[in-house]
Amino acid sequence: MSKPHMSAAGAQYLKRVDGLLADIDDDDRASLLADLADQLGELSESELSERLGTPEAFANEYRRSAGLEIPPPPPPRSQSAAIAMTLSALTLPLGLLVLVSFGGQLVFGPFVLAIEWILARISPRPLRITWSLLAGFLAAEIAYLLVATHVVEGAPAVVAGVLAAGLTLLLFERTTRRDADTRSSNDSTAPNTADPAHRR
Amino acid sequence: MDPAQVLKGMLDTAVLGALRGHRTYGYDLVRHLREQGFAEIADASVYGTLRRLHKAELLTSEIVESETGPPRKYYTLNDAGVAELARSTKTWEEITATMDRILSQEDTS
Repeated sequence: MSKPHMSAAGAQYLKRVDGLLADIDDDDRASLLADLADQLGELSESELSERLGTPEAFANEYRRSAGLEIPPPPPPRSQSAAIAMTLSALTLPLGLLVLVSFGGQLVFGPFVLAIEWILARISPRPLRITWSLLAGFLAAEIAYLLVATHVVEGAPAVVAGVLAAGLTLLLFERTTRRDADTRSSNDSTAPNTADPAHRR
Repeated sequence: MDPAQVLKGMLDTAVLGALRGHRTYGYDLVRHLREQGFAEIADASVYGTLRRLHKAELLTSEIVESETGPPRKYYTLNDAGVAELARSTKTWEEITATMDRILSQEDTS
């Protein structure tokens, strides 16, 4: 049994369409992907974008023709980053409150962080809300740890805690931006979005 | 006039017509429609239209193993599809007859 040859770009295209239509019936999606795989096996990289458009345009046209709802586009990346930072900032005092409420049971922190880490890993893009919550709680952990373990005392302890929290949030913000930049770079190399009805 | 826009409006009829007396799968249908002259057709539109017509129970589907890849879903026109095609064909003939009359009118000005 031989399979049609598919370029790396074709395989990437197929994977992207699969992800974009993840909400439709498995049966229908599998059928579409089988047809599309055949087609991608016959197209060169340059023909692929000309004939099919971007995966997003393809998926949207499929939805439109199938009478399915077209999901709204994701918010602008700068907006996503701002929302992520706001969530982190809001989680910080909440995290401190939780830690104080548990009477300094620091052992509680790692469990929360572990759960948040798992949630962050499985949460969908583009807005990984749980990453924001994770950063906020991590900042709270650091601040609380510095104060509770008496590494520093009194007012300097509060200042050190706030600085540590700020540093954590800053690191998170830089990571978020780098991730957004990487995705922008990837998108700019993708074919231009165009109405697939105008394909040759 | 953009042919692609006109085609969008008649794609259901084109797909039903292409499936009359034939059993075929998505990509094969795309190729067939292109070979028949619909060079502007959007592939995703054909796949989406097939799904919609199938959900509307105008088509019957059957999964068939393929020697060159994953199993394929083959579509055929059922009785409801045949009846819908007859209605669509009648509507199309009325439209084209009307358009012919309008466009063949001589300039009397």
